[in-house]
Amino acid sequence: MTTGGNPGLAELQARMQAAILADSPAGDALALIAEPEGNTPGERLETYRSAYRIRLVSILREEFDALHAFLGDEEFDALALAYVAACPSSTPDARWYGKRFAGFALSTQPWGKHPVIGELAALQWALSGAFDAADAPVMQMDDLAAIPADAVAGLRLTFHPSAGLLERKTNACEILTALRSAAEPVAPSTIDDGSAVMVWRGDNRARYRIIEAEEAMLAREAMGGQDFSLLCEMAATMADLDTAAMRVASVLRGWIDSGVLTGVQLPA
Amino acid sequence: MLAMRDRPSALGFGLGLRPQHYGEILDGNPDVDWFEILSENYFARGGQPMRMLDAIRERYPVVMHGVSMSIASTAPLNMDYLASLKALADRVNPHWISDHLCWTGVHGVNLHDLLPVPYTEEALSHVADRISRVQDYLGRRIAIENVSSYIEYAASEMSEWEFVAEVSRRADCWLLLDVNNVFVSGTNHGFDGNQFIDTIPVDRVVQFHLAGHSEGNGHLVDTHDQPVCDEVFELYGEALKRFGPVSTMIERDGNIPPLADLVAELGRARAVADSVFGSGTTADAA
Repeated sequence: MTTGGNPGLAELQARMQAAILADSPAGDALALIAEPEGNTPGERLETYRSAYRIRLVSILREEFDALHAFLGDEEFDALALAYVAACPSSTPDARWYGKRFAGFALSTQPWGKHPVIGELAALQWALSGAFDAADAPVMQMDDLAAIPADAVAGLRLTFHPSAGLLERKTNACEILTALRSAAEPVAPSTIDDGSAVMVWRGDNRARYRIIEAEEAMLAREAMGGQDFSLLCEMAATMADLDTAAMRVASVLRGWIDSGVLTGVQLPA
Repeated sequence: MLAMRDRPSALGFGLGLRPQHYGEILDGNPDVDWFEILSENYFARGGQPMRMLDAIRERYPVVMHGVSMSIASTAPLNMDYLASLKALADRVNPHWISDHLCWTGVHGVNLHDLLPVPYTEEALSHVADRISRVQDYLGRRIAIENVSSYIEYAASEMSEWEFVAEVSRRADCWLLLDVNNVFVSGTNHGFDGNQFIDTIPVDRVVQFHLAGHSEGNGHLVDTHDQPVCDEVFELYGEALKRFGPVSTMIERDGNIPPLADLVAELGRARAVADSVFGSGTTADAA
């Protein structure tokens, strides 16, 4: 619908949005704006255009504060502005705007050539997710003792909503630890030992730790829904066959102690 | 027909709840009558944010304030968003829910900004209809806030205050009068804030916002990163004279100071109210 030669509301909003998102201000939006006192329409429009970029970069700086510290203002903002240009927000909640940031950093050059950037972003994102993930009761040791012996082989573990597993090809985890503890900076390096990073929430804090190859494999499979007997079989392929069940049980106790699990599903 | 008695009771003097202050609030029981939460910060979340909110809710009245309803957008209403809002309201039991008279994006994009609408009959009808639909869905009246703006559209057929007043009547909604936004927009567009205030229906206003702004390139920008300025406190006094004791709060989103500084600033709002109504009468008058 148009009124007196002016565009309807839908067209006005589309033109304004296009002008805010565009690399350079779109001329057809300027015609929508009444001549202001003391400024040109373009100067007033620029306030919205620059605020959009400043706001989204600021959201990313806050969300990925360790990566910001690691890269410094200039390099981080270059990455953030590239993300803002490539990935307009579609979420009503700015909290989720950084969802694709790590993937973008890993897949877009020149940042993709340095996977530690994407991995550090992925780790921070996972920690944010763990911090405010949904609440759920945490499994206790007594719950484990209550499982009938003949059901153990078929049980499947249920992970807490905050629990996650990150594969790792770099030492982003060690870099984050150094940044958080104000320790000497750690130089980026590659990792190829099968280890991974487990992320979860404990005592209301987001936590992470590096887990070695066997535990990483067990976490991957258990999160994928494999039962206890299969976890033991897979452990047997990685180290001593005779101690496989004990090792899996030990890992399981560690997960229960740290609050990574909510319970188990018994076989039907 | 709306009557003054339908208006929710005034809560006194509040602050926007910010995570930086969780500890100070729970440890210190500050002299704050109520808190406004940013609704989106608590959607479908667990862990410490919800735990802190639950603890604060036990001690203080809470209202919910959103930034993403996009009530003036020509995009379809985001029903997932509204479902999250309703679920949070069911848990928090706020005294009321508010959002802005603005649009935040179209075509699946969210600009995370509060963009003004042209003050046209088309926009008026569109916005009032959407507020009504949201109120039907939520099962309650919502409060709609006037925004700061840096542009005026050539298409506008009426003033902002006429638009806001008529939206509230047609949609039968409450209004959240942001005094700083009136001041910022008035300065940017050359109107007198008193004219705005004098046109807003008294029985619709359930809340005042106070906030700080910054000097932009030849105009004011609503940044919420500065203390409330003298002129806004002055306009606030005028608003109190027209609307009576209305729940008042200070928003601070940048350069967030210690809680004690904001409590002190809130004391200034109390002093303005005392000067209008007489010392110590504001709580009773509510």
